Amino acid sequence: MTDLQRKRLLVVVRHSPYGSSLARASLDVALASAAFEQPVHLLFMGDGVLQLLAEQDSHAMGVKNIGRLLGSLPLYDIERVYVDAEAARRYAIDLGNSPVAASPLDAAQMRQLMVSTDHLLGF
Amino acid sequence: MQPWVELAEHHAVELVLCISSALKRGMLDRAEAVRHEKPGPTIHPAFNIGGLGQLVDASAHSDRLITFGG
Repeated sequence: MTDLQRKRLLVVVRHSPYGSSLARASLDVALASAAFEQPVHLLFMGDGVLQLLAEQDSHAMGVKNIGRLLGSLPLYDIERVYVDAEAARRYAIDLGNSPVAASPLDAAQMRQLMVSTDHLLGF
Repeated sequence: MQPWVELAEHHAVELVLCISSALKRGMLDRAEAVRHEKPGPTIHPAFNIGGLGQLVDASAHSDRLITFGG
Protein backbone atom coordinates (compact mmCIF):
# COMPACT_ATOMS: atom_id res chain seq x y z
CA MET A 1 0.00 0.00 0.00
CA THR A 2 2.73 2.44 -0.90
CA ASP A 3 2.04 5.76 -2.66
CA LEU A 4 -1.63 5.55 -1.82
CA GLN A 5 -3.61 8.30 -3.56
CA ARG A 6 -5.62 10.58 -1.34
CA LYS A 7 -9.34 10.49 -1.99
CA ARG A 8 -11.70 12.57 0.09
CA LEU A 9 -14.23 10.23 1.65
CA LEU A 10 -17.64 11.29 2.92
CA VAL A 11 -19.27 8.84 5.32
CA VAL A 12 -23.03 9.48 5.51
CA VAL A 13 -24.71 8.12 8.61
CA ARG A 14 -28.51 7.88 8.47
CA HIS A 15 -29.37 5.31 11.13
CA SER A 16 -29.86 5.46 14.89
CA PRO A 17 -26.94 4.43 17.13
CA TYR A 18 -28.22 1.15 18.60
CA GLY A 19 -30.94 -0.12 16.23
CA SER A 20 -28.39 -2.06 14.16
CA SER A 21 -24.65 -2.48 13.80
CA LEU A 22 -24.50 0.21 11.08
CA ALA A 23 -23.34 2.99 13.43
CA ARG A 24 -20.39 0.91 14.54
CA ALA A 25 -19.61 -0.13 10.95
CA SER A 26 -19.61 3.48 9.75
CA LEU A 27 -17.17 4.46 12.50
CA ASP A 28 -14.92 1.49 11.71
CA VAL A 29 -14.71 2.61 8.06
CA ALA A 30 -14.05 6.23 9.03
CA LEU A 31 -11.28 5.19 11.43
CA ALA A 32 -9.69 2.78 8.93
CA SER A 33 -9.66 5.48 6.24
CA ALA A 34 -8.12 8.00 8.62
CA ALA A 35 -5.48 5.43 9.61
CA PHE A 36 -4.45 5.28 5.94
CA GLU A 37 -4.29 9.09 5.86
CA GLN A 38 -7.35 9.52 3.70
CA PRO A 39 -9.22 12.78 4.39
CA VAL A 40 -12.51 11.75 6.04
CA HIS A 41 -15.70 13.77 6.37
CA LEU A 42 -18.61 12.54 8.45
CA LEU A 43 -22.22 13.64 7.92
CA PHE A 44 -25.09 12.70 10.25
CA MET A 45 -28.46 12.84 8.49
CA GLY A 46 -32.04 11.92 9.38
CA ASP A 47 -32.23 9.34 12.23
CA GLY A 48 -28.42 9.36 12.25
CA VAL A 49 -28.47 12.60 14.27
CA LEU A 50 -29.51 10.48 17.30
CA GLN A 51 -25.89 9.33 17.44
CA LEU A 52 -25.08 12.86 18.62
CA LEU A 53 -27.20 12.58 21.79
CA ALA A 54 -25.20 13.78 24.77
CA GLU A 55 -26.09 11.14 27.35
CA GLN A 56 -25.76 7.62 25.91
CA ASP A 57 -25.64 4.51 28.05
CA SER A 58 -25.30 1.25 26.11
CA HIS A 59 -24.06 -0.78 29.07
CA ALA A 60 -27.17 -2.98 29.38
CA MET A 61 -26.98 -3.87 25.66
CA GLY A 62 -23.39 -5.05 25.96
CA VAL A 63 -22.23 -2.92 23.03
CA LYS A 64 -19.77 -0.05 22.91
CA ASN A 65 -21.04 3.44 23.65
CA ILE A 66 -21.28 5.14 20.25
CA GLY A 67 -21.12 8.59 21.84
CA ARG A 68 -17.83 7.74 23.49
CA LEU A 69 -16.44 6.41 20.19
CA LEU A 70 -17.51 9.60 18.43
CA GLY A 71 -15.77 11.62 21.12
CA SER A 72 -12.49 9.95 20.20
CA LEU A 73 -12.68 10.92 16.50
CA PRO A 74 -10.58 14.12 16.82
CA LEU A 75 -7.76 11.96 18.24
CA TYR A 76 -7.70 10.17 14.88
CA ASP A 77 -7.67 13.44 12.92
CA ILE A 78 -11.33 13.19 11.95
CA GLU A 79 -12.42 16.75 12.61
CA ARG A 80 -14.71 17.43 9.67
CA VAL A 81 -18.00 16.37 11.21
CA TYR A 82 -21.31 17.75 9.96
CA VAL A 83 -24.95 17.36 10.92
CA ASP A 84 -28.23 17.77 9.05
CA ALA A 85 -29.49 20.92 10.84
CA GLU A 86 -33.18 20.24 10.11
CA ALA A 87 -33.01 16.67 11.52
CA ALA A 88 -31.10 17.86 14.59
CA ARG A 89 -33.87 20.39 15.21
CA ARG A 90 -36.59 17.77 14.70
CA TYR A 91 -35.00 15.47 17.28
CA ALA A 92 -34.12 18.40 19.57
CA ILE A 93 -30.46 17.39 19.65
CA ASP A 94 -28.43 19.76 21.80
CA LEU A 95 -25.47 20.26 19.47
CA GLY A 96 -23.67 22.27 22.13
CA ASN A 97 -23.38 19.06 24.19
CA SER A 98 -22.93 16.45 21.46
CA PRO A 99 -20.09 13.92 21.97
CA VAL A 100 -18.21 15.36 19.00
CA ALA A 101 -18.44 18.90 17.63
CA ALA A 102 -20.58 18.83 14.46
CA SER A 103 -21.25 21.77 12.14
CA PRO A 104 -24.94 22.12 11.19
CA LEU A 105 -25.64 22.21 7.44
CA ASP A 106 -28.79 23.03 5.51
CA ALA A 107 -29.91 21.00 2.48
CA ALA A 108 -27.95 23.09 -0.04
CA GLN A 109 -24.77 22.84 2.06
CA MET A 110 -25.16 19.05 2.39
CA ARG A 111 -25.52 18.78 -1.36
CA GLN A 112 -22.39 20.89 -1.80
CA LEU A 113 -20.48 18.64 0.62
CA MET A 114 -21.57 15.52 -1.31
CA VAL A 115 -20.44 16.85 -4.67
CA SER A 116 -17.13 18.14 -3.29
CA THR A 117 -15.87 14.77 -1.99
CA ASP A 118 -14.45 11.98 -4.18
CA HIS A 119 -16.20 9.02 -2.60
CA LEU A 120 -19.34 8.57 -0.54
CA LEU A 121 -20.16 5.61 1.68
CA GLY A 122 -23.68 5.44 3.09
CA PHE A 123 -24.69 3.72 6.32
CA MET B 1 -25.51 -15.63 -4.53
CA GLN B 2 -25.10 -17.34 -7.92
CA PRO B 3 -25.26 -14.05 -9.88
CA TRP B 4 -22.31 -12.77 -7.81
CA VAL B 5 -20.33 -15.89 -8.63
CA GLU B 6 -21.12 -15.50 -12.34
CA LEU B 7 -20.12 -11.83 -12.23
CA ALA B 8 -16.81 -12.78 -10.64
CA GLU B 9 -16.15 -15.55 -13.17
CA HIS B 10 -17.14 -13.63 -16.30
CA HIS B 11 -15.57 -10.28 -15.48
CA ALA B 12 -12.66 -11.12 -13.14
CA VAL B 13 -14.30 -9.24 -10.26
CA GLU B 14 -12.94 -9.77 -6.78
CA LEU B 15 -15.62 -10.61 -4.19
CA VAL B 16 -14.50 -9.60 -0.71
CA LEU B 17 -16.37 -9.78 2.60
CA CYS B 18 -15.50 -7.46 5.48
CA ILE B 19 -13.88 -9.63 8.14
CA SER B 20 -15.59 -8.15 11.20
CA SER B 21 -19.06 -8.20 9.59
CA ALA B 22 -18.48 -11.73 8.26
CA LEU B 23 -17.23 -13.24 11.53
CA LYS B 24 -20.12 -11.69 13.45
CA ARG B 25 -22.47 -13.63 11.16
CA GLY B 26 -20.56 -16.90 11.15
CA MET B 27 -19.27 -16.45 7.62
CA LEU B 28 -15.82 -18.03 7.29
CA ASP B 29 -13.54 -18.64 4.34
CA ARG B 30 -11.07 -21.53 4.42
CA ALA B 31 -8.33 -19.55 6.20
CA GLU B 32 -10.68 -18.15 8.86
CA ALA B 33 -12.21 -21.62 9.44
CA VAL B 34 -8.74 -22.98 10.19
CA ARG B 35 -7.85 -20.00 12.37
CA HIS B 36 -11.03 -20.34 14.44
CA GLU B 37 -10.76 -24.15 14.56
CA LYS B 38 -14.06 -24.72 12.74
CA PRO B 39 -14.72 -27.83 10.64
CA GLY B 40 -14.81 -25.93 7.35
CA PRO B 41 -15.62 -22.74 5.46
CA THR B 42 -19.20 -21.43 5.44
CA ILE B 43 -18.93 -19.17 2.38
CA HIS B 44 -18.78 -19.97 -1.31
CA PRO B 45 -15.16 -20.27 -2.50
CA ALA B 46 -15.69 -17.40 -4.98
CA PHE B 47 -15.67 -15.03 -1.97
CA ASN B 48 -12.69 -13.99 0.13
CA ILE B 49 -12.53 -12.32 3.50
CA GLY B 50 -10.59 -9.07 3.79
CA GLY B 51 -9.95 -6.20 6.16
CA LEU B 52 -11.07 -2.60 6.00
CA GLY B 53 -7.57 -1.66 4.82
CA GLN B 54 -8.40 -3.47 1.60
CA LEU B 55 -11.53 -1.31 1.17
CA VAL B 56 -9.50 1.85 1.79
CA ASP B 57 -6.82 0.73 -0.65
CA ALA B 58 -9.37 -0.21 -3.33
CA SER B 59 -11.31 3.05 -2.99
CA ALA B 60 -8.11 5.14 -3.08
CA HIS B 61 -7.30 3.50 -6.42
CA SER B 62 -10.80 3.78 -7.89
CA ASP B 63 -12.47 6.64 -9.69
CA ARG B 64 -15.89 5.40 -8.55
CA LEU B 65 -17.15 3.89 -5.31
CA ILE B 66 -20.74 2.69 -5.19
CA THR B 67 -22.51 1.97 -1.92
CA PHE B 68 -25.86 0.38 -1.17
CA GLY B 69 -25.62 0.83 2.59
CA GLY B 70 -28.53 0.61 5.01
